[in-house]
Amino acid sequence: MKWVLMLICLLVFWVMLLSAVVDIPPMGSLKNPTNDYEVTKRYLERGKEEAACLNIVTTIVLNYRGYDTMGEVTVIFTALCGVLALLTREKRKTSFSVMDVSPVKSSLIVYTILRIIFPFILLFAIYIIAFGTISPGGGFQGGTIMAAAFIIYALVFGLLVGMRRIPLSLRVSIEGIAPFTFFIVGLIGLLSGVNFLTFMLPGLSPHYQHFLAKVMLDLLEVGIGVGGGAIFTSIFFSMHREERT
Amino acid sequence: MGIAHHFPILVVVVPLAAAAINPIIGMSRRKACMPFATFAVFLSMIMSAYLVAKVYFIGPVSYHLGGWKPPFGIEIYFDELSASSLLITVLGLLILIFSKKYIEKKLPAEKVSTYYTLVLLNVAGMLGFVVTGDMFNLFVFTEILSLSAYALVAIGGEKIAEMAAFKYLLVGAVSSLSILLAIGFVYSITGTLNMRDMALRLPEVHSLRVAAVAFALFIVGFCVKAALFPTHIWLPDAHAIAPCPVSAILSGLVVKTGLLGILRVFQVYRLTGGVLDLTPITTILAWLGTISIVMGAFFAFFQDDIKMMLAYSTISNIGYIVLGIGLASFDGLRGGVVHIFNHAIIKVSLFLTAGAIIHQTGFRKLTDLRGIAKRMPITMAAMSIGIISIVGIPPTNGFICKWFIALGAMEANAPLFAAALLFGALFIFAYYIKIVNAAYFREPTRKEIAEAKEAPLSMLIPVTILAFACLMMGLPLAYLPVRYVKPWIVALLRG
Repeated sequence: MKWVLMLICLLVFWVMLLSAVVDIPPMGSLKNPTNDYEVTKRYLERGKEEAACLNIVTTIVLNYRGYDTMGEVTVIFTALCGVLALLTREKRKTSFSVMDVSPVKSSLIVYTILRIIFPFILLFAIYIIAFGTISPGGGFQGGTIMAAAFIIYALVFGLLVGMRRIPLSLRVSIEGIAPFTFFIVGLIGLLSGVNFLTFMLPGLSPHYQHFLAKVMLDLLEVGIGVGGGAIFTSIFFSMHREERT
Repeated sequence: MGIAHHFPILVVVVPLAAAAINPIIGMSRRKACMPFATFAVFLSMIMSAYLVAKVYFIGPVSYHLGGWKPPFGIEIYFDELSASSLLITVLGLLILIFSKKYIEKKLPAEKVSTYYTLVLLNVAGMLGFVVTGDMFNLFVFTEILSLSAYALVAIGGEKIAEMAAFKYLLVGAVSSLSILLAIGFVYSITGTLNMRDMALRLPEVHSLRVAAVAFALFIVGFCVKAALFPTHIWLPDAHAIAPCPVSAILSGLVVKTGLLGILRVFQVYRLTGGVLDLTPITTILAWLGTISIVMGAFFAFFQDDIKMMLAYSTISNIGYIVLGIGLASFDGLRGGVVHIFNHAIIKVSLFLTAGAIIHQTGFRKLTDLRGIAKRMPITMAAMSIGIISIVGIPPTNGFICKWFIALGAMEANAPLFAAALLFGALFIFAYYIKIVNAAYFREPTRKEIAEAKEAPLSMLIPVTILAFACLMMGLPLAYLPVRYVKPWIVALLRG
């Protein structure tokens, strides 16, 4: 009976949503409001010289709607705080992972391959972060790749080695860096007399304006990347550990 | 172009940045977390106060982020509804001061800095939610405040708290999703995300059906956040099991953001014409509000646990507010919007006094708390003032809103709603009198009660300030918020 009711409810909901989806303007047509309106046109036509950034996606995400991105990195930071509220951090003396106590260690092949490949993963992450303004990619993606490197490292070598290599004090100090970088960059704008998160500072020649805007955008990318990487690593360490009683 | 020009954004960003560096402070000096958080919220409060005065004397303030004119960039639009930022910061400050002793006793030492970080994030999320003038931004800050609220419910670490938080998380995630989906739908037919721009472009869209479905999704999503009757299932558990300061934040403020969201949606869709001619949505809201009033009061009547009672009473009061909004008449809207403000003060006061009592005695059940008034006179007096306020007895601030909502019901020719309102008030009186009875007129059954002491000063100060606010917002200053929101409501009704 309960199941029948649930199915009926879901069916009604489904029909309602589908009826709306049918009515949405066709994707890609030039006539539909999202493409026909001045907002999109301006982003596409004038984004390059207004926002000092070649990648249109990065332009929108970091410049036109930078405040939203500030909110999004705060959401990730909040997720970390939620994990810590439930699980607390790993402790130096009592925490260990399955890898540390299992009788079967990882094989020599895995060790060696990981040792060789680890710097390359990090290099790739740095490339993705640094080239976020001119090619696909950016802070979020690079940060997750960086975190992936550390996570693989801790999985193979065990949590004890991982905790030594990526110390807690370092991670704590860079976890909040993503929202904080936004705050600092916004303050630079405030102090030079324009609105929060403005990249084109007034009173400079156009060449320097563009250069400074590029520097600030890259700074944001690095902040998001490093902060995101630290946050994901911390979440993994908190969830992966077990406690000696 | 002084610093005051940038206040609309700094109000939000200062607590946010403080939250980001709070873990670092917590690592080296755990004691410094609470003063630091308090200081950040205090700065925010000063700026909010300035902005609220500015809105009252000059009119709504608009701020363009990144210097992009709307609709190209994100706009912060500080209007009469955003004035709730002052309420959020003041109550947040009092709750933080109250937390100091309570949290030290309740949580293990390593979680203390996390707790303050989460409270700061929650406050910053609510501030961002109320000041923004951009739809997607509204969603982002909804997400921040919801996530931190889930974590705060579970922070106590008991199994039951984790279950309650999980329930809250599931329901809340679905509501966030429906809000996001609605924003997607609206964006696809208007091509803009700025609220005022959207309001201009919505009447001339070519597909009313998409707009209607988006509207339904908006209302459902925000109703879940506000715990209106059919979607209230998560509230009693989450609010009763969380630590007391957290319950105060949740019941007083987080639930209200759902209602403010509903009002924002009405602002975008207008109260007449277009989608609202298709559905009798205001009537539906009024009925749901009425059911909420009766249900909440009914369930609260049979609770023995103080915090459960307060949680159910929140559902009841949310019903009052939604009824006021649903009547869609001038007086009803006034009553509803002002009750958002007043109920926040009263409910925070009640939860904090309950927290002080639980902190001092360790009991939550009324039968255990008999005779507590002799031992903790100041706390109990503050609680009694809160109780008188929430029942709605004239010299306090609970009365004025209910009066306006009843007037609105008469204005809308729906005396049935007024009757339900009176019935709810009677029921509320009945179960709150149980608390007064147990505390004042019964002999102690537990020997621990006879040894209980008055709460520490850091708890008494917020509690007395709030009790005083309940009285002051009654007759002497009652018309202040009512007059404040009047231009906004007139604009909403004009469409």
